[in-house]
Amino acid sequence: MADPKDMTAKDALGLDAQAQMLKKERRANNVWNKLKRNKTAMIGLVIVVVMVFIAVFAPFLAPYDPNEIHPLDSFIKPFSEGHLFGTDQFGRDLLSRIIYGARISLIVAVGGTLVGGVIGVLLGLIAGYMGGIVDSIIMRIMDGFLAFPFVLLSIILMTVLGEGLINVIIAIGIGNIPSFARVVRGEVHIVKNEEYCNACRVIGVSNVRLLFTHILPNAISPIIVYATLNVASAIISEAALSFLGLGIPAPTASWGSILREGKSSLMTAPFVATISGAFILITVLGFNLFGDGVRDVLDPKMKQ
Amino acid sequence: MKKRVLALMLAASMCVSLAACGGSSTKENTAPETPAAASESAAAGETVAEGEPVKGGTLTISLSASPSKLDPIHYSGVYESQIIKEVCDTLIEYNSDLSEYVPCLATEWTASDGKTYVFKIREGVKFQKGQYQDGRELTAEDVAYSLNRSGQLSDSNRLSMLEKAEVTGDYEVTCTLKSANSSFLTALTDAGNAIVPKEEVEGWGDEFGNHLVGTGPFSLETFQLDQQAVLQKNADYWMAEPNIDTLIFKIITDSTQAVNALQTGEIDMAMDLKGEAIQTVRNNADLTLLETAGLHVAYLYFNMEQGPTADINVRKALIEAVNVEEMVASLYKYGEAQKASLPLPPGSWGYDAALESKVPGYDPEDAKKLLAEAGYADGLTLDLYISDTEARQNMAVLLQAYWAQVGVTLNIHASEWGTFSEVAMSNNANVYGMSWTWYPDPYFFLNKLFATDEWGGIGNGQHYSRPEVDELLQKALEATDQADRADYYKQALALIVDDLPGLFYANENVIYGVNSRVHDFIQRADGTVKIVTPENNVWVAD
Repeated sequence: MADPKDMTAKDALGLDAQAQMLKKERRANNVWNKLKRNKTAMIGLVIVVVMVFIAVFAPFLAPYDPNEIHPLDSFIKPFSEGHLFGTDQFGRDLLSRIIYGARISLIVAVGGTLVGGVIGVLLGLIAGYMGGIVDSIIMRIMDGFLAFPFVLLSIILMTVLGEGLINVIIAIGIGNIPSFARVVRGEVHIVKNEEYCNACRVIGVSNVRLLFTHILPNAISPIIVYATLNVASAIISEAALSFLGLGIPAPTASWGSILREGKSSLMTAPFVATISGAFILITVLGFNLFGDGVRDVLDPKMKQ
Repeated sequence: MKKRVLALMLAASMCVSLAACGGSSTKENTAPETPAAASESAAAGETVAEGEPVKGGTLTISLSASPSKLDPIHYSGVYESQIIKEVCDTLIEYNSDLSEYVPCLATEWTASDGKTYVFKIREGVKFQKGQYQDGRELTAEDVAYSLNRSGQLSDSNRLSMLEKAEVTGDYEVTCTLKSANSSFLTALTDAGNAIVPKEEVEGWGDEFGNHLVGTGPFSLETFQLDQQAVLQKNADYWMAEPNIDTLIFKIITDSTQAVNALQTGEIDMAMDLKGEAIQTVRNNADLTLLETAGLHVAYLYFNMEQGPTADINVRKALIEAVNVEEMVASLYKYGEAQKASLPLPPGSWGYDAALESKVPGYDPEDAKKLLAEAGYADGLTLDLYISDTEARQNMAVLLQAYWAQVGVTLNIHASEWGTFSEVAMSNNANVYGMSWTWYPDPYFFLNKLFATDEWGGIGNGQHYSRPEVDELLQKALEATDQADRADYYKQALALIVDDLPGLFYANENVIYGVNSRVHDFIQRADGTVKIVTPENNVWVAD
């Protein structure tokens, strides 16, 4: 029988790895269980899942071609036969446009968050880890970006890039970079001086490896929380750009462009702006509730 | 002259002006003041004049776009001409229905050989007081100076036909033209050719526009860019003392906001109303809706030189694919416009209703056939450029849907006026959407839009050119009798219509909302607001 004292270093490592895996699993279950108990987070999750479902299956759900015009059947009231949400100024079925609009709004919001997130996280890692002059340069540039009102920055980018789905994603993504970079940089500052990081450096782990296999995973919680909440604001950004006429080119529907079109008929057909606005509201609320819930679970400081 | 185009922007009645650039051959368009439409429509737009006029008070009018350059030689938009025309006078004027010229600073005029015009200048007219002169009398030198200045320097070539203006007597000015040009008198009514005092122009230099001085019924007190212009009455105005003490032009670009301001009493008159704002005015018993058929054509036009649209059969197919009646009913739900078919508004005296039947009607099946024959059986992709006004964008969405039905994919490019006009002047796209508004003289439509020497201007950016048309247009300019001129223009129009250079879909009305406290106001088809004329002197009741 092996005396524990005789355990080789190798054995110890194996046990340690096992323990770590168990811990990870337990932690994941723990997160999910805690999340399940959080009612508002679950409401948010349901909303998000429903919206994603609508967006993914738009062609099967929409009763009409969203771009088919019937100029003489404009502004049919909601709940009319054949048109649950009524029709817009060109006689296009509003329900179909809202359904297809969900696609654009979610693609842009998630895409913009990903673009901003990936670049922002990289910059934040580098700035936080390197410190010194590199940190100063990167973060001052980020501060410069933050000094611009977000909408103004996006308008400038859209004017330069031109209309189009990819360009909207890029514009919103670029606008998101600085806040991601800030969040990550702060986290890295805390993590990089932990014992295990020092240990890694002592045994000669490369900087890149240290950053991506040790520091990033330990800084990921706030990034996930921030990204979830950011999707909500990206939906609003997309709507704002479309509302200003700088988004996706006609006739493609997005919730913002439907809202914009509804603005000119607020008196005669208030439902156009109301319905599209309500979808923006509900979806943003969904992401915010879910994001808040995730933060409650992941953030140790929030534990009661 | 003014030219204006209204381009897209205008959707409204006003026009926008554009900028154009001066220079070589570009011209701008501006829309404006012209008027013509007179006859049939004008009568509708008046507010009651009954009761004893009240002296004093303030009249506030909203402008739907922001004026920036008030120096007559630099102005490009109708909004600017509104202010210039209250501060300054021109040599002659149109009457309110734009049917004839009436004396203004010139009391009478004679023309000989089509090239020489002699004007008698009104005596005893005083300029408003300014920084560099103390309200001195207007002289023949001022007139000659102002006209020569515009002839040489106008950004929009508003008096380009003038060779020179000379003082030939105490109160007499003789104008010599480069060649006979029957549009000269019309051009003189344009705000760009207003009479201004030399000392002020030279004293202020580039700043003159912000300190504009003239002989008009109101003097410019303050001009705040993008906000408002405040004008005070010129008590010594030669025609009559204005009833109103203070005239304010406030910039409110959004129709809905303008109507809200009208309802709260913040403004007394809202110009260029569109869409549901019109219904709001109709529903409010305290407000009056003034509506006059404008000298306006909204249209889309094709690249005549390159690409698929250089083929007349493709153009025919594209025109046939659009249900114009349905489109106009959808775009102008409140009756803001009538369906059009020709490049001239019906209010112009060159209009020929007999030509309407030459425009191909709605026939998507034939359109598909024509496209297939032209080699586009598998579809076709076109680029449309428009300015980013709501009216143009809505038109583009409908057009896109109609053309999609015959296999044409349309990419819409909407941009602000400056970018749009650049593309439209350089003919870099397939299709353009715009509108044009100007005087009743067909010259301001047909020459500007279809003469070969207007290539590169905003009007003929599509590069339309046909020698027979150029010849007829020139003959029309040289003829002096209006009936002869109308005849030439009709012949030219017939040739132009056969070439299918565009789809002319609507004539928009000039639409204002007015508070009932405003009396004795007469609306004009060119969209010009005139407060004091021989026919009326606006007053407000409190």
